[in-house]
Amino acid sequence: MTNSHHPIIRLQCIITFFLTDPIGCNHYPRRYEYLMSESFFIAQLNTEAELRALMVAALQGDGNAHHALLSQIAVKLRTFFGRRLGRDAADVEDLVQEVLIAVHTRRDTYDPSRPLTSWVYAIAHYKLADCFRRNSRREVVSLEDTAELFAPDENEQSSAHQDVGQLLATLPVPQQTAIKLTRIDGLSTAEAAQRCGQSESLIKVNVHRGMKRLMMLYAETE
Amino acid sequence: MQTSDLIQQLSTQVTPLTRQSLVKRLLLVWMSGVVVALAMLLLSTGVRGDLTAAICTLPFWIKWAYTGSVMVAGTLLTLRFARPEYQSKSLLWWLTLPTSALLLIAIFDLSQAPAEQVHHMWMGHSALMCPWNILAISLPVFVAMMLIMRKFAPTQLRTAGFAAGCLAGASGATVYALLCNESAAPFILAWYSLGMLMPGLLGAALGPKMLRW
Repeated sequence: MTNSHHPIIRLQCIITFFLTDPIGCNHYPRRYEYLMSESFFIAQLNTEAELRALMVAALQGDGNAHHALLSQIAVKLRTFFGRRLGRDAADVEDLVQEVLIAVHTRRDTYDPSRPLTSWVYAIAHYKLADCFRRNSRREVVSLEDTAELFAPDENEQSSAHQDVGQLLATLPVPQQTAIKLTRIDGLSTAEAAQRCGQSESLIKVNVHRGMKRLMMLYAETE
Repeated sequence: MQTSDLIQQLSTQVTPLTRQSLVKRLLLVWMSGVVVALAMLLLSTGVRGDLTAAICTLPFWIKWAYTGSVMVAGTLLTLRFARPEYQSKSLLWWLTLPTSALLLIAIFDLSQAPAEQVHHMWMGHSALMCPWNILAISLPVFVAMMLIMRKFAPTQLRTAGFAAGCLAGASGATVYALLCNESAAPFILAWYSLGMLMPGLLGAALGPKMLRW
Protein backbone atom coordinates (compact mmCIF):
# COMPACT_ATOMS: atom_id res chain seq x y z
CA MET A 1 0.00 0.00 0.00
CA THR A 2 1.70 3.13 -1.21
CA ASN A 3 -1.12 5.52 -0.36
CA SER A 4 0.64 8.44 1.30
CA HIS A 5 -2.28 9.10 3.59
CA HIS A 6 -2.21 5.64 5.07
CA PRO A 7 -2.50 6.09 8.85
CA ILE A 8 0.76 4.28 9.50
CA ILE A 9 2.74 6.48 7.14
CA ARG A 10 1.02 9.51 8.55
CA LEU A 11 2.00 8.52 12.07
CA GLN A 12 5.58 8.06 10.97
CA CYS A 13 5.48 11.51 9.41
CA ILE A 14 4.22 13.00 12.65
CA ILE A 15 6.91 11.28 14.67
CA THR A 16 9.64 12.15 12.17
CA PHE A 17 8.42 15.72 12.34
CA PHE A 18 9.10 15.71 16.09
CA LEU A 19 12.49 14.12 15.72
CA THR A 20 13.91 16.02 12.78
CA ASP A 21 13.16 19.28 14.44
CA PRO A 22 16.22 21.26 13.41
CA ILE A 23 15.27 24.62 14.88
CA GLY A 24 13.86 23.03 17.99
CA CYS A 25 11.08 25.55 18.13
CA ASN A 26 8.00 23.53 17.49
CA HIS A 27 7.39 20.44 19.52
CA TYR A 28 3.76 20.80 18.79
CA PRO A 29 2.20 19.10 15.79
CA ARG A 30 0.64 21.06 12.99
CA ARG A 31 -2.85 22.04 13.96
CA TYR A 32 -4.83 19.59 11.90
CA GLU A 33 -2.85 16.58 13.06
CA TYR A 34 -3.32 17.86 16.60
CA LEU A 35 -7.05 17.92 16.21
CA MET A 36 -7.41 14.53 14.59
CA SER A 37 -5.26 12.73 17.13
CA GLU A 38 -6.89 14.60 19.99
CA SER A 39 -10.36 13.48 19.00
CA PHE A 40 -9.38 9.88 19.57
CA PHE A 41 -8.06 10.75 22.98
CA ILE A 42 -10.98 12.87 24.04
CA ALA A 43 -13.68 10.28 23.18
CA GLN A 44 -16.71 11.42 25.09
CA LEU A 45 -17.80 14.91 26.04
CA ASN A 46 -19.57 13.70 29.17
CA THR A 47 -16.23 12.41 30.40
CA GLU A 48 -15.13 16.03 30.13
CA ALA A 49 -17.96 17.20 32.37
CA GLU A 50 -17.22 14.51 34.93
CA LEU A 51 -13.50 15.17 35.01
CA ARG A 52 -13.98 18.89 35.19
CA ALA A 53 -16.26 18.55 38.21
CA LEU A 54 -13.55 16.49 39.90
CA MET A 55 -10.90 19.03 39.01
CA VAL A 56 -12.93 21.94 40.34
CA ALA A 57 -13.41 20.07 43.61
CA ALA A 58 -9.73 19.18 43.74
CA LEU A 59 -8.75 22.81 43.19
CA GLN A 60 -10.79 23.67 46.24
CA GLY A 61 -8.78 21.19 48.28
CA ASP A 62 -10.78 17.97 48.07
CA GLY A 63 -8.23 15.17 48.29
CA ASN A 64 -10.67 12.42 47.32
CA ALA A 65 -11.75 14.22 44.20
CA HIS A 66 -8.12 14.68 43.28
CA HIS A 67 -7.49 10.98 43.80
CA ALA A 68 -10.43 10.07 41.59
CA LEU A 69 -9.38 12.58 38.96
CA LEU A 70 -5.82 11.32 38.77
CA SER A 71 -6.95 7.69 38.65
CA GLN A 72 -9.33 8.33 35.78
CA ILE A 73 -6.79 10.37 33.88
CA ALA A 74 -4.20 7.65 34.42
CA VAL A 75 -6.40 5.11 32.67
CA LYS A 76 -6.86 7.35 29.65
CA LEU A 77 -3.19 8.20 29.56
CA ARG A 78 -2.18 4.60 29.61
CA THR A 79 -4.27 3.91 26.51
CA PHE A 80 -3.05 7.05 24.82
CA PHE A 81 0.63 6.40 25.41
CA GLY A 82 0.28 2.67 24.96
CA ARG A 83 -0.90 3.28 21.42
CA ARG A 84 1.93 5.60 20.61
CA LEU A 85 4.85 3.86 22.29
CA GLY A 86 4.21 0.36 21.00
CA ARG A 87 3.21 -0.95 24.41
CA ASP A 88 6.73 -0.73 25.81
CA ALA A 89 5.38 -1.11 29.33
CA ALA A 90 8.13 0.56 31.34
CA ASP A 91 8.21 3.67 29.17
CA VAL A 92 4.44 3.98 29.14
CA GLU A 93 4.11 3.77 32.89
CA ASP A 94 6.96 6.26 33.40
CA LEU A 95 5.30 8.68 31.06
CA VAL A 96 1.92 8.24 32.74
CA GLN A 97 3.51 9.04 36.09
CA GLU A 98 5.33 12.05 34.67
CA VAL A 99 2.10 13.45 33.30
CA LEU A 100 0.24 12.80 36.57
CA ILE A 101 2.92 14.64 38.49
CA ALA A 102 2.77 17.51 36.01
CA VAL A 103 -1.04 17.62 36.21
CA HIS A 104 -0.73 17.79 39.98
CA THR A 105 2.07 20.31 40.37
CA ARG A 106 0.91 22.60 37.59
CA ARG A 107 -2.80 22.44 38.23
CA ASP A 108 -2.83 26.20 38.68
CA THR A 109 -2.28 26.56 34.93
CA TYR A 110 -5.72 25.05 34.32
CA ASP A 111 -8.30 27.65 33.36
CA PRO A 112 -11.72 26.42 34.59
CA SER A 113 -13.49 28.18 31.74
CA ARG A 114 -11.78 25.89 29.24
CA PRO A 115 -12.07 22.14 28.65
CA LEU A 116 -10.11 20.00 31.07
CA THR A 117 -9.44 17.26 28.54
CA SER A 118 -7.62 19.62 26.17
CA TRP A 119 -5.52 20.85 29.06
CA VAL A 120 -4.54 17.31 30.06
CA TYR A 121 -4.02 16.39 26.43
CA ALA A 122 -1.71 19.37 25.93
CA ILE A 123 0.42 18.27 28.88
CA ALA A 124 0.41 14.64 27.75
CA HIS A 125 1.40 15.65 24.28
CA TYR A 126 4.22 17.87 25.51
CA LYS A 127 5.60 15.07 27.67
CA LEU A 128 5.35 12.62 24.78
CA ALA A 129 7.25 14.91 22.44
CA ASP A 130 9.84 15.38 25.17
CA CYS A 131 10.16 11.62 25.55
CA PHE A 132 10.76 11.17 21.84
CA ARG A 133 13.22 14.01 21.85
CA ARG A 134 15.18 12.61 24.78
CA ASN A 135 15.31 9.10 23.51
CA SER A 136 15.94 10.11 19.91
CA ARG A 137 13.97 7.16 18.73
CA ARG A 138 14.97 7.18 15.13
CA GLU A 139 13.60 3.73 14.44
CA VAL A 140 10.19 5.12 15.34
CA VAL A 141 7.73 2.27 15.73
CA SER A 142 7.84 -0.91 13.66
CA LEU A 143 5.03 -1.60 11.22
CA GLU A 144 3.66 -4.57 13.15
CA ASP A 145 3.27 -2.46 16.27
CA THR A 146 1.70 0.50 14.52
CA ALA A 147 -1.08 -1.75 13.24
CA GLU A 148 -2.11 -2.05 16.88
CA LEU A 149 -2.14 1.71 17.37
CA PHE A 150 -5.09 2.07 15.09
CA ALA A 151 -6.78 -1.11 16.27
CA PRO A 152 -10.43 -0.26 16.60
CA ASP A 153 -11.46 0.28 20.19
CA GLU A 154 -15.19 -0.01 19.75
CA ASN A 155 -16.42 2.52 22.29
CA GLU A 156 -13.78 5.16 21.78
CA GLN A 157 -13.83 4.88 18.01
CA SER A 158 -17.57 5.30 17.57
CA SER A 159 -18.04 8.10 20.07
CA ALA A 160 -15.00 9.87 18.70
CA HIS A 161 -16.62 9.65 15.29
CA GLN A 162 -19.78 11.09 16.76
CA ASP A 163 -18.05 14.16 18.18
CA VAL A 164 -15.97 14.73 15.10
CA GLY A 165 -19.09 14.24 13.02
CA GLN A 166 -20.94 16.89 15.02
CA LEU A 167 -18.16 19.43 14.69
CA LEU A 168 -17.62 18.55 11.05
CA ALA A 169 -21.28 19.16 10.32
CA THR A 170 -20.84 22.79 11.32
CA LEU A 171 -18.30 23.41 8.59
CA PRO A 172 -19.13 24.64 5.10
CA VAL A 173 -19.80 21.74 2.74
CA PRO A 174 -16.62 21.94 0.61
CA GLN A 175 -14.41 21.87 3.70
CA GLN A 176 -16.48 19.08 5.23
CA THR A 177 -16.17 16.90 2.16
CA ALA A 178 -12.47 17.57 1.77
CA ILE A 179 -11.72 16.62 5.37
CA LYS A 180 -13.98 13.59 5.31
CA LEU A 181 -12.39 12.19 2.16
CA THR A 182 -8.75 12.85 3.01
CA ARG A 183 -8.63 12.41 6.77
CA ILE A 184 -11.41 10.01 7.66
CA ASP A 185 -11.81 7.85 4.56
CA GLY A 186 -8.06 7.97 4.01
CA LEU A 187 -8.00 8.93 0.36
CA SER A 188 -5.04 10.74 -1.11
CA THR A 189 -5.42 14.35 -2.21
CA ALA A 190 -5.39 13.26 -5.84
CA GLU A 191 -8.14 10.71 -5.31
CA ALA A 192 -10.25 13.17 -3.35
CA ALA A 193 -9.74 15.79 -6.04
CA GLN A 194 -10.90 13.34 -8.67
CA ARG A 195 -13.91 12.30 -6.61
CA CYS A 196 -15.04 15.91 -6.09
CA GLY A 197 -14.08 17.17 -9.51
CA GLN A 198 -11.87 19.87 -8.00
CA SER A 199 -8.17 20.66 -8.21
CA GLU A 200 -5.76 19.17 -5.68
CA SER A 201 -4.73 22.55 -4.35
CA LEU A 202 -8.36 23.44 -3.71
CA ILE A 203 -8.76 20.25 -1.69
CA LYS A 204 -5.65 21.08 0.32
CA VAL A 205 -6.86 24.61 1.01
CA ASN A 206 -10.25 23.32 2.14
CA VAL A 207 -8.69 20.73 4.40
CA HIS A 208 -6.39 23.29 5.95
CA ARG A 209 -9.09 25.87 6.54
CA GLY A 210 -11.53 23.27 7.80
CA MET A 211 -9.02 21.90 10.29
CA LYS A 212 -8.21 25.37 11.49
CA ARG A 213 -11.85 26.08 12.12
CA LEU A 214 -12.44 22.72 13.76
CA MET A 215 -9.63 23.39 16.14
CA MET A 216 -10.99 26.81 17.07
CA LEU A 217 -14.49 25.36 17.49
CA TYR A 218 -13.20 22.62 19.68
CA ALA A 219 -11.28 25.04 21.85
CA GLU A 220 -14.38 27.18 22.27
CA THR A 221 -16.83 24.43 23.15
CA GLU A 222 -17.51 24.04 26.82
CA MET B 1 7.02 3.42 42.43
CA GLN B 2 3.58 2.11 41.56
CA THR B 3 1.29 4.58 39.91
CA SER B 4 -1.42 3.89 42.44
CA ASP B 5 0.97 4.77 45.26
CA LEU B 6 1.96 7.92 43.44
CA ILE B 7 -1.68 8.95 43.08
CA GLN B 8 -2.20 8.23 46.75
CA GLN B 9 0.74 10.41 47.64
CA LEU B 10 -0.28 13.26 45.38
CA SER B 11 -3.81 13.26 46.76
CA THR B 12 -2.50 14.09 50.19
CA GLN B 13 -0.77 17.22 48.92
CA VAL B 14 -3.84 19.04 47.73
CA THR B 15 -3.75 22.67 48.76
CA PRO B 16 -6.68 24.85 47.71
CA LEU B 17 -6.03 27.05 44.71
CA THR B 18 -8.07 29.88 43.30
CA ARG B 19 -8.35 31.08 39.73
CA GLN B 20 -5.97 33.88 40.58
CA SER B 21 -3.20 31.67 41.95
CA LEU B 22 -1.32 31.70 38.69
CA VAL B 23 -1.54 35.47 38.33
CA LYS B 24 -0.50 36.04 41.93
CA ARG B 25 2.53 33.79 41.62
CA LEU B 26 3.63 35.49 38.45
CA LEU B 27 3.17 38.99 39.83
CA LEU B 28 4.99 38.15 43.05
CA VAL B 29 8.02 36.87 41.21
CA TRP B 30 7.85 39.73 38.74
CA MET B 31 7.73 42.24 41.58
CA SER B 32 10.82 40.78 43.21
CA GLY B 33 12.64 41.07 39.91
CA VAL B 34 11.62 44.72 39.61
CA VAL B 35 12.73 45.44 43.17
CA VAL B 36 16.16 43.97 42.41
CA ALA B 37 16.38 45.99 39.21
CA LEU B 38 15.42 49.15 41.07
CA ALA B 39 18.02 48.43 43.74
CA MET B 40 20.61 47.91 41.01
CA LEU B 41 19.75 51.30 39.58
CA LEU B 42 19.78 53.14 42.88
CA LEU B 43 23.05 51.59 43.97
CA SER B 44 24.87 52.24 40.72
CA THR B 45 23.94 55.52 39.10
CA GLY B 46 20.94 56.64 41.11
CA VAL B 47 18.01 58.37 39.51
CA ARG B 48 18.10 61.47 37.34
CA GLY B 49 18.86 64.65 39.24
CA ASP B 50 15.74 66.48 38.12
CA LEU B 51 13.36 63.61 38.83
CA THR B 52 11.05 65.59 41.08
CA ALA B 53 10.73 68.25 38.40
CA ALA B 54 10.43 65.73 35.57
CA ILE B 55 7.52 63.97 37.24
CA CYS B 56 5.45 67.09 36.63
CA THR B 57 6.10 67.06 32.87
CA LEU B 58 4.05 65.28 30.25
CA PRO B 59 6.90 63.53 28.40
CA PHE B 60 7.82 61.62 31.56
CA TRP B 61 4.33 60.20 31.82
CA ILE B 62 4.18 59.44 28.13
CA LYS B 63 7.31 57.34 28.66
CA TRP B 64 5.77 55.56 31.61
CA ALA B 65 2.45 55.13 29.85
CA TYR B 66 4.26 53.51 26.95
CA THR B 67 6.43 51.15 28.96
CA GLY B 68 3.54 50.51 31.35
CA SER B 69 1.17 49.45 28.60
CA VAL B 70 3.79 47.16 27.08
CA MET B 71 4.18 45.69 30.56
CA VAL B 72 0.45 45.04 30.78
CA ALA B 73 0.39 43.45 27.34
CA GLY B 74 3.47 41.41 28.24
CA THR B 75 1.88 40.17 31.45
CA LEU B 76 -1.31 39.09 29.70
CA LEU B 77 0.66 37.28 27.03
CA THR B 78 2.97 35.61 29.52
CA LEU B 79 -0.04 34.32 31.44
CA ARG B 80 -1.56 32.98 28.24
CA PHE B 81 1.54 31.19 27.13
CA ALA B 82 2.17 29.82 30.60
CA ARG B 83 -0.73 27.45 29.93
CA PRO B 84 -0.16 24.26 27.95
CA GLU B 85 -3.00 24.55 25.44
CA TYR B 86 -2.13 25.77 21.99
CA GLN B 87 -2.60 29.51 21.48
CA SER B 88 -2.14 31.39 18.28
CA LYS B 89 1.11 33.29 17.97
CA SER B 90 -0.80 36.17 16.45
CA LEU B 91 -1.69 37.16 20.03
CA LEU B 92 1.80 38.63 20.14
CA TRP B 93 0.50 41.50 18.02
CA TRP B 94 -1.02 42.92 21.21
CA LEU B 95 2.47 44.14 21.99
CA THR B 96 2.37 46.47 19.02
CA LEU B 97 -0.68 48.41 20.20
CA PRO B 98 1.19 50.78 22.53
CA THR B 99 3.86 51.21 19.87
CA SER B 100 1.29 52.27 17.30
CA ALA B 101 -0.11 54.85 19.71
CA LEU B 102 3.35 56.20 20.38
CA LEU B 103 4.03 56.24 16.65
CA LEU B 104 1.10 58.60 16.15
CA ILE B 105 2.39 60.89 18.89
CA ALA B 106 5.87 60.83 17.37
CA ILE B 107 4.54 61.64 13.90
CA PHE B 108 2.62 64.56 15.33
CA ASP B 109 5.63 65.87 17.25
CA LEU B 110 7.93 65.55 14.26
CA SER B 111 5.50 67.43 12.07
CA GLN B 112 5.44 70.29 14.56
CA ALA B 113 9.19 70.47 15.09
CA PRO B 114 11.60 72.73 13.19
CA ALA B 115 13.90 70.87 10.78
CA GLU B 116 17.14 71.33 12.73
CA GLN B 117 15.65 69.68 15.81
CA VAL B 118 14.49 66.53 14.07
CA HIS B 119 17.82 64.76 14.28
CA HIS B 120 18.09 65.53 17.97
CA MET B 121 14.56 64.27 18.53
CA TRP B 122 15.51 60.93 17.10
CA MET B 123 18.97 60.52 18.54
CA GLY B 124 18.98 62.57 21.74
CA HIS B 125 22.34 62.24 23.40
CA SER B 126 22.24 58.63 24.50
CA ALA B 127 20.66 56.79 21.60
CA LEU B 128 23.23 54.04 21.25
CA MET B 129 23.57 53.35 24.96
CA CYS B 130 19.87 53.40 25.75
CA PRO B 131 18.79 49.95 24.51
CA TRP B 132 21.77 48.30 26.19
CA ASN B 133 21.04 50.06 29.46
CA ILE B 134 17.46 48.87 29.31
CA LEU B 135 18.63 45.34 28.58
CA ALA B 136 20.98 45.45 31.54
CA ILE B 137 18.37 46.78 33.95
CA SER B 138 15.81 44.21 32.82
CA LEU B 139 18.11 41.25 33.50
CA PRO B 140 16.97 40.60 37.08
CA VAL B 141 13.36 40.58 35.92
CA PHE B 142 14.32 38.41 32.96
CA VAL B 143 15.96 35.83 35.17
CA ALA B 144 13.01 35.85 37.55
CA MET B 145 10.60 35.35 34.65
CA MET B 146 12.57 32.46 33.20
CA LEU B 147 12.67 30.76 36.57
CA ILE B 148 8.95 31.09 37.26
CA MET B 149 7.89 30.05 33.76
CA ARG B 150 9.56 26.71 34.33
CA LYS B 151 7.13 26.16 37.18
CA PHE B 152 4.20 26.78 34.91
CA ALA B 153 3.32 24.70 31.86
CA PRO B 154 4.33 26.48 28.68
CA THR B 155 4.33 24.29 25.58
CA GLN B 156 5.17 26.89 22.97
CA LEU B 157 8.55 27.57 24.46
CA ARG B 158 9.88 30.11 22.04
CA THR B 159 6.72 32.22 22.14
CA ALA B 160 6.49 31.99 25.92
CA GLY B 161 10.12 33.04 26.17
CA PHE B 162 9.47 35.98 23.92
CA ALA B 163 6.46 37.14 25.91
CA ALA B 164 8.28 36.80 29.24
CA GLY B 165 11.32 38.57 27.79
CA CYS B 166 9.22 41.47 26.55
CA LEU B 167 7.63 41.76 29.97
CA ALA B 168 11.11 41.88 31.49
CA GLY B 169 12.20 44.46 28.93
CA ALA B 170 9.20 46.67 29.58
CA SER B 171 9.83 46.45 33.32
CA GLY B 172 13.46 47.37 32.79
CA ALA B 173 12.46 50.28 30.60
CA THR B 174 10.05 51.54 33.26
CA VAL B 175 12.79 51.48 35.87
CA TYR B 176 15.24 53.03 33.42
CA ALA B 177 12.88 55.93 32.83
CA LEU B 178 13.76 57.06 36.35
CA LEU B 179 17.31 57.65 35.17
CA CYS B 180 17.01 58.58 31.53
CA ASN B 181 16.35 62.24 30.80
CA GLU B 182 15.41 61.93 27.15
CA SER B 183 11.91 63.06 26.46
CA ALA B 184 11.30 63.20 22.71
CA ALA B 185 8.62 60.81 21.46
CA PRO B 186 10.64 59.66 18.42
CA PHE B 187 13.54 58.79 20.70
CA ILE B 188 11.31 56.74 22.97
CA LEU B 189 9.69 55.08 19.99
CA ALA B 190 12.99 54.03 18.47
CA TRP B 191 15.29 53.27 21.36
CA TYR B 192 13.01 52.24 24.18
CA SER B 193 11.19 49.91 21.83
CA LEU B 194 14.47 48.38 20.80
CA GLY B 195 15.50 48.09 24.43
CA MET B 196 12.26 46.27 25.25
CA LEU B 197 12.52 44.02 22.23
CA MET B 198 16.01 42.82 22.99
CA PRO B 199 15.14 40.87 26.16
CA GLY B 200 12.16 39.51 24.22
CA LEU B 201 14.43 38.15 21.53
CA LEU B 202 16.76 36.81 24.18
CA GLY B 203 13.80 35.05 25.77
CA ALA B 204 12.78 33.59 22.43
CA ALA B 205 16.31 32.31 21.89
CA LEU B 206 16.68 30.83 25.34
CA GLY B 207 13.07 29.66 25.72
CA PRO B 208 13.44 26.17 24.24
CA LYS B 209 16.36 25.48 26.54
CA MET B 210 15.50 27.28 29.75
CA LEU B 211 11.75 26.76 29.93
CA ARG B 212 11.63 22.97 29.71
CA TRP B 213 9.74 21.26 32.52
